[in-house]
Amino acid sequence: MAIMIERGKEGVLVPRSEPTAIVEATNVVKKYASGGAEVQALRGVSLRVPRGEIVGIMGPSGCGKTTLLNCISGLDVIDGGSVRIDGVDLASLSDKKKTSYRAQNMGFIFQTYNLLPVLSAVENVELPLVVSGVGAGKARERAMAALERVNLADKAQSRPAQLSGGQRQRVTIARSLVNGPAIIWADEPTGALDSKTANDIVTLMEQLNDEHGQTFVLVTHDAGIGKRCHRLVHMSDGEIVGEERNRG
Amino acid sequence: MDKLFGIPMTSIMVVLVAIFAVGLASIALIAITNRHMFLLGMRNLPRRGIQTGLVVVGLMLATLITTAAFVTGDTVDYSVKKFGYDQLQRIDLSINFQGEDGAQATQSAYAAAAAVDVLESRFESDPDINGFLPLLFEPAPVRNERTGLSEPRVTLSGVDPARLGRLGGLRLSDGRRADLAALDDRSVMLTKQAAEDLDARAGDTVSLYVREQPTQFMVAGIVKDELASSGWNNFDVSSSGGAVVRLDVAQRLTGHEGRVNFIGVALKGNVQDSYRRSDAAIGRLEPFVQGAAGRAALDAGERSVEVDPLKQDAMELAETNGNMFVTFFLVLGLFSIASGVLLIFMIFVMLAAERRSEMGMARAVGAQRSNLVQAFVSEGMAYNLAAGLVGAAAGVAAALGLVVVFLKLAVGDDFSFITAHVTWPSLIISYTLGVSLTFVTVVIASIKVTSLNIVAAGRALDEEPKREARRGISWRWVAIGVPSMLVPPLGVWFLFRKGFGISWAWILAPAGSAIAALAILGAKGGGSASEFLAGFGFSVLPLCIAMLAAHYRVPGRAVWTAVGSWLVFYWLAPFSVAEKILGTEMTGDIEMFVLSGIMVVAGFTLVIVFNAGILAALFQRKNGHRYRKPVFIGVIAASLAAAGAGIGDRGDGAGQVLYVVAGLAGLAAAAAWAAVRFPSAAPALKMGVAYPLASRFRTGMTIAMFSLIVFSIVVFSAVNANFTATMTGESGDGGWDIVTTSNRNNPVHDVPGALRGRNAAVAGDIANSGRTTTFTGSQEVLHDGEWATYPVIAGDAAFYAASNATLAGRASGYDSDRAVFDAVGADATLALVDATDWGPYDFTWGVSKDDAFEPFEATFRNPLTGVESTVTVIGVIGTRLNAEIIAGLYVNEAAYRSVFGAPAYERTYVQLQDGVKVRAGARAIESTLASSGVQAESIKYLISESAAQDRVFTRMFQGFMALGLIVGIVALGVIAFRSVVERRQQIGMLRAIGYQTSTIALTFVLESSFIALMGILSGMVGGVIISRNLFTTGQFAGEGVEFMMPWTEVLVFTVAALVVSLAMTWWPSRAAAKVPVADALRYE
Repeated sequence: MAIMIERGKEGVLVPRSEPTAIVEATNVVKKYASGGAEVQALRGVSLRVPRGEIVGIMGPSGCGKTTLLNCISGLDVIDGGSVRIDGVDLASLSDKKKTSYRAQNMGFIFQTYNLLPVLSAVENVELPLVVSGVGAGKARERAMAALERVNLADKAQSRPAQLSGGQRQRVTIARSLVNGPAIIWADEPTGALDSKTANDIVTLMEQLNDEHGQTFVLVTHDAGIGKRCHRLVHMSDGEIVGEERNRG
Repeated sequence: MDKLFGIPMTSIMVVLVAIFAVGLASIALIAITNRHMFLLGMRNLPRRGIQTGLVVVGLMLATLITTAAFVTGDTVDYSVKKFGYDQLQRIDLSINFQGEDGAQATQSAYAAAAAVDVLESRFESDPDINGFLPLLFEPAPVRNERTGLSEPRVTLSGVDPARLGRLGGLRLSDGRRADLAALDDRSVMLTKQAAEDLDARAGDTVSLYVREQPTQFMVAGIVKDELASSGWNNFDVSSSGGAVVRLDVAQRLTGHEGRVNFIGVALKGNVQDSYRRSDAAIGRLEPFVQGAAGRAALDAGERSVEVDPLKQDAMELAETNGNMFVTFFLVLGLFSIASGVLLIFMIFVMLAAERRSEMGMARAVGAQRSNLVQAFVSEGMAYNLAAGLVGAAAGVAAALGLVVVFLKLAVGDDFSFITAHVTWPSLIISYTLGVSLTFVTVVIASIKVTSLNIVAAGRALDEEPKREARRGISWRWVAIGVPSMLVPPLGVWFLFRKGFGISWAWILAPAGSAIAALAILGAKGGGSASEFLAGFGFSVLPLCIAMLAAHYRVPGRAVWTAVGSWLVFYWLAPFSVAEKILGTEMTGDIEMFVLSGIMVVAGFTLVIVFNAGILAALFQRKNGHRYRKPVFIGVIAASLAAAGAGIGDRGDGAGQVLYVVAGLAGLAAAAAWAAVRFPSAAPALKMGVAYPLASRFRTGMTIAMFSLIVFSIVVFSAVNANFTATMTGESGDGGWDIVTTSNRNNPVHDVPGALRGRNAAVAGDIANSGRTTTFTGSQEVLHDGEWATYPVIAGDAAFYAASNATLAGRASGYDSDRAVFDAVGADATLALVDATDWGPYDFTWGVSKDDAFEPFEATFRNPLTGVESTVTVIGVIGTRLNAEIIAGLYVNEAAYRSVFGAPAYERTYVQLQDGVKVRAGARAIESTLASSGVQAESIKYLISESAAQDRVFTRMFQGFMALGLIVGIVALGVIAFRSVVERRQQIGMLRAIGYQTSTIALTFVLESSFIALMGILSGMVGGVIISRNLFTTGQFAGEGVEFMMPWTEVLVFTVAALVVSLAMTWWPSRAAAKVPVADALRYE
């Protein structure tokens, strides 16, 4: 387990008074078969994410960032170690329960937005609600509220093809927070955006974090965005090789 | 077969092989000159095995359908020819001295047997004639004394053993030569058919009844059924075979000493090719027999004499039948082939979509668009060649399954002569036709799909639709285009599009509008094709206008919905819209079925793809009053169904249409209820509609494929069911229960009297009876100014007085059917006609069988004497017996006597007392009068047997058309595979945000369901309404049919089609849902 430490009075290192951890990943191992050989994508990674923190994961291509995000969010199965989200061991859940858990407690943001082109912005935002059985009227109300929060209420009826990249990503963010998740996972959320739009998106995440205390775990290549995370974890060859705390 | 559509098969084969060779040469050229592009195409083949399999299945369908059509034609052609050879053996011609039409005559004319000596002497050294065969054929009852079994009518065949022996003799049933020398005064050879019916074998004693006298013979052997043994059945297996005796014995028994009634002519050569000498032989033989010496030798009297090319006619009949099957199947298959072409197009759109980024990359590094076309065409040709082989094999299997197995299983003995046969020319034509058609489609599809925006393709972004811009003039293309106008589509493309740079909308819309306007003007003038021209014009014109509107970005939904609605209204309105607009009476034929099918389907498809989005509203869950929507729609559905049930089969079929609408509403209610009851399925339902509608072209094509096929099957089912109901219904038997026929050698002119004379109990069961004559062979009716052979039938007083038959139609001025019967019975200037629509004679009456018609005159004559008479037709007999029995101009005895002399009443119609079992009554009559050879059968049974055969053919055609459903089902599979591949990342996202695997699978299945259901429902609705219109206001309106729908049949095959379609998409859907989430998200 990674032990969080901080520099105390007179420069002495002491255990930090730890806020409640929402993510507790311990010695996570993930292997892939590639061309007949086994590739270890994650080599016993441990990560603890306190509630309300924005954690960035950085590293070179192929170092295992996205794999780590997928494994600790329960999108992928792990080959060793354990992952607990809010105290729940995801590996022990059936696929059906794990899926329901994701629907009620997590939000996801992807680099390529992954919006359904046949649905309008508000219909895309509603998806996590309708799948959770929320009534149509209530779902529409909450989806509109989520779009308001990302300043896109006026584009509610637009199809994704009618929106810019930044607007699409904001719809994705609205979709990720519409069910009030405790944690939002973001894989290269600004990877397809220009720097100004990327900056706006991160600012939006910060606002949401400030206002609602939502936890963000995001994978990024962008050092500038990394610097705006509360904490930045560096990865290389399937391992965490260091981390730095920026603020908070 | 030698010809198709009048074109020699060899010519068709050469042209198709040439096109095929051009296709192959093109690929070879690509392989040599642009190896990279060739390999780029080829190496795609093994990339996705299942998808490759699906593409091959999709591409094989055109070949399958054409092969099935040709193999069916081959089989029918070969079987009929083989049957002809087996039946005729060495007899190629017959000297016909029966008068005008001997084939249908029940009375026989005789010639002097000695004429054969004269003919042999005259034609001894003829280069084509091998010999003459005198025969005497007489009907006679026969009884096997050992088994006690009897047959009321076998054909006694008197043969000259010496002459028959010289021409090859007879064959025993085991194939060996029969020893004709064994035939003595007291021996007979039975044909296989007769022996089976009598359970007879060599050595048995049989009694032949001629002129009421039994004569016993010993069975000397069992011979094959053929003309000389007079097992000649002309495809009628109900005939009871023959009994061969020596000619002099037959002459003595029947009292025709020195006479024969058949003289066959054998030509030189073997059985299979001797008939080719027919024309040459007839050229010399006919002048002689028609000359004074010949007529004198034959003792033909006043009768006309001619030489009939029997075998040549049989061969031509085989050719005609084979051609008819190929033509009919190819025409029916057009719907399926059209669907197949759409499918091929769609497959290539799918392949291109999958490889869009690859193509973008290739274009970015310098590949020309033509290079991509080359790669696609190479790949397509590889698929095509393999698919052609699979399709040809499947086509052979389908044809043999349908024609040989199905017909033999369904009908049994009647089609026992069908023998599977496949010829190389047919296989080559169907293979090259299928492959060439597919090749052309692939080339067009490749040109279409390689048109892409390089940047958008490379970055996998959506392409902005842009209006086709006008280009500058290219004089080079103008120069190429002018001579290319020899092939108009190519010429138009080169000259107007590439040369003058005019957009397609501006090329096609004005051209289409001009053609449509001309068609409407043509229709205004009336005529036989006016309905087709009007339908074409009024359908194409709005489509052209819409095309231009779309070019100028007028909102598509409004424009295309209006066009679709117009098409649906025009073609499904219960009245002729064209007649209302043009004020001209329209007439059309079978071609209307094809045109109406295409236009109704096009109309429905347009309305669906532009408006089905509103169906998504069914799946919106409102808070509170959750079940209000499904309950409301359900009540509407129930009300409509109740109204339909209330109307029933009345109201010109309106009840049936209400059932359809009720069914649609019921489905909508079920969908709305499912969305409420299973909230987790609501998003799947919504996306199940939303995704197909996002690709209107693709969805529309698939809906159209299903719709076209279902439409044609529904119409066939309805036509079949309604005609069967009419034929076998209460009015079909014309009010009579049994029809009996006696034969000329043992005439029984008073059946009830004969029964009473033999103290038969069945005599007491007879309530009424009436007698008629039968066709004599020398009877003609004036038709369109010319004398045409047609039966003139006399009915005795009882026939008209006792009949309580329902007429199918009666002339105005008569209050009841009884009044018509009474009038004809009493007045020699009045007559009835039959209601048959086709038969063996030169024409049919074609009189309205529904409403009162104006009385019309008919003139008939005796061609032997020239005596004629004119009568007024005032009624149409309702009996639906086949034309051989019922066809005729029915007059009373006095009218008949004045032209033909005293009538010989050989047919008796019998009404039984209430409660008497009809078939038992018929059997009792037949067994009581067995020694006289009276045949008796239930009229209902005869009609249902005839209807059953018609049904089998309809089923066969339906089965053939159902092959087209495979196209639709494969198309759904293609779409499902494509959707899964295209949307893998989206699937990952949906799983990530909480969609269960079952919901994901359900989404895909619902998409396929939506497409299949829309296709099936639109085809069914169109088919039901068109059928209803056909029977109430259209072509069959005069048949007096109360329209009904065979719902069980229609629902069974539509549900089966839906289930198979869903099964086809279930597997890729499940596979899609089970992809690990992280893998799906990573997929590019």
